Amino acid sequence: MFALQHIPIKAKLIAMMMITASIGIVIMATAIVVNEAQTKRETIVTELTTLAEVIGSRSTGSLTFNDPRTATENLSALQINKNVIYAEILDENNQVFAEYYPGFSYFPPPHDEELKLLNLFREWFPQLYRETIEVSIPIILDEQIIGTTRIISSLDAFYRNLIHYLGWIGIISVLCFLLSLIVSTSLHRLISKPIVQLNQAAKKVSVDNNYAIRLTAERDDELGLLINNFNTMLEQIEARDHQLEQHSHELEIQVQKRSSELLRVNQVRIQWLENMAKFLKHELKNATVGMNTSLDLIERRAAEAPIEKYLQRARKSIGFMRVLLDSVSHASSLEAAVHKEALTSLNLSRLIKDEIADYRVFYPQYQLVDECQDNIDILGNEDRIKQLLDKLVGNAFEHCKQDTPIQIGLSRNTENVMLTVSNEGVKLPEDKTRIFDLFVSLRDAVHWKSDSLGLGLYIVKLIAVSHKGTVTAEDRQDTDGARFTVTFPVLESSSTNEALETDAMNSGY
Amino acid sequence: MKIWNCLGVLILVSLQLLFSAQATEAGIDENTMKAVYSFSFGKFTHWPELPNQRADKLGFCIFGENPFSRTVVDSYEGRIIKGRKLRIQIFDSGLLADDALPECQILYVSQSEKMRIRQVIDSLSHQPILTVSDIQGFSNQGGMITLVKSDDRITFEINPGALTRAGISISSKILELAKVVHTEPAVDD
Repeated sequence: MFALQHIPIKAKLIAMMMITASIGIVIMATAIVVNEAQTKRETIVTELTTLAEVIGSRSTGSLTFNDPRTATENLSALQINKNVIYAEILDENNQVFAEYYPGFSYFPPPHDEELKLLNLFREWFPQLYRETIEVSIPIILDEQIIGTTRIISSLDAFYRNLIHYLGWIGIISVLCFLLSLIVSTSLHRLISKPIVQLNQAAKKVSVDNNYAIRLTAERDDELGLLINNFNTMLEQIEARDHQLEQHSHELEIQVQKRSSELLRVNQVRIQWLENMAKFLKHELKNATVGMNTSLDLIERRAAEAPIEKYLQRARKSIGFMRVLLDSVSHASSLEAAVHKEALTSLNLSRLIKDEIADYRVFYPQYQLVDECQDNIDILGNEDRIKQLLDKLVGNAFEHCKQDTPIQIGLSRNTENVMLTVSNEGVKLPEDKTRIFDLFVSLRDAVHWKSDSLGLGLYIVKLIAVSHKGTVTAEDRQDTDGARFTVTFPVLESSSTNEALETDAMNSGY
Repeated sequence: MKIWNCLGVLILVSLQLLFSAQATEAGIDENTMKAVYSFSFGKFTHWPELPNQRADKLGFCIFGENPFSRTVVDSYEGRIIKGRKLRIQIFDSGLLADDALPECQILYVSQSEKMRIRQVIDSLSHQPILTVSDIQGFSNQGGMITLVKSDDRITFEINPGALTRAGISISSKILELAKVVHTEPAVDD
């Protein structure tokens, strides 16, 4: 039964019909043969009984008047039955009164095939096989048993007939089997054809994504219903696909529209920032030139000590204004440029280790601890990553306690690459989200080792975001101090392809 | 020498007597066999139904001297043959009264009536009585069945014409065993 599960439905249907037909044919043939054998046997017994009764009846006189010769003549009538091999009449004392021997065989010797079959039957059914059959009928005269007629008949002819009968049954069974095969080969199409059509249609739908295919149901049975339901299902999928396509198209238009709007707004903002920086630079530069000229004149004419003090303060203010102007200009330029720069695959581990080595050369007064894992790659801009690290390490230099280590770590998990810079020193302010805003410096200026315009962490944020990453700041749990963590997406093959596409777009842009 | 001759003759005679009186078959003597055969004829014979006959009795009459032993007669008396009780009567006075005839379905004529056999047969010719005898030529003279000793067996002759005239039918099962004879015309002495 298990073997049938893996063959085609066509073969399965034929096999089912053939198995059923075969079982029926075998049962029918067996029943016919058994019935025939039983009937034949009963016929033989009936015939022998009739002969015995007739001979017995005819021999009552012989038995009564002690005439075995006539009884023997009566027995010789058994010649009409060629199967009888022995017969006798017994008197009332069961003594042999008359006997009959045919004396010769009426039948030709059996063929080899018949002998083989007879031997097989004898071996297979030893309980059923009998070489002879015997009939004993009492001879009754005037309600008294005066003797017995006993006839022994050979069953050779019976078995021969049975073998011939079996042969015919076998031939007829084979013909029935072939007929069943022919009929089942034609009939299986009633079921298999629509199923095969359904299968082909489903395959075509799955391969070509063509949901416009429809099948014709030419029947009112379950298969017809199945085909109708299949068509209905395809119609529903087709309608849903159409709706999805429509929604997707609308969404795409909406996204394009929104992206264009954002791009335009961003360009306007950047343009505004650039214009504002140019304006401030131009105007403040003019003002500074005027003030410097005026201060030079004042300095030449009045060399008094009190005025010198105010002059120095004014120059310091001008210097700060210059720094401020440069920073604003730098920030606006960076913001405008950072989103346009191409990202390429780079070995972040090697880059950071090289940077740490440089820091150790240029800033020997600080203890830098390298905690970077090897062979971590990201999509990035090497210059911007160096700039980001410079800002974070510079921030750590400014806020670390003397002679405390600054740890620079690099690690990764399944989704992100984490770059951390930790230092011991003052804690971060409560509102940690604002420290990455432009010109915001929330930490106590007392702890600063230099004047800060709050530009460094803003640049870190700009670079991190341009690399599709994030930056966070937190207080250290093990000691007083801060830890800054920048995350980048893990580089994957698809990301590499994306980077290449971005490069191509940017080169075109 | 005479003594030896006489003794030899005596032995031969004794042996002759012994074999003749003794059983022809299986140690049963000849008369007993004849009795058994005579009784058995009743099993194969069909008599016409007569109003003055009892249906439950089968009369077996012995006319003349009874040749059968008392033992045989007693053993068969009362036996059932064809559903009828066998009743054996012996008429050894030489007379057979007419009123006794309806009670006789089988009449055995013994050797003692050998001399007037024709007379007896004639008197019974139209009576449905099966006549049986071991008198030689009984059937040729109009009797129905004659018991004949042949070698060591008892055979019988049947006269179908006599049976037909008497309205008696006899089974073919014994006809095929018997020698069929016919009534010979009477020869006047």
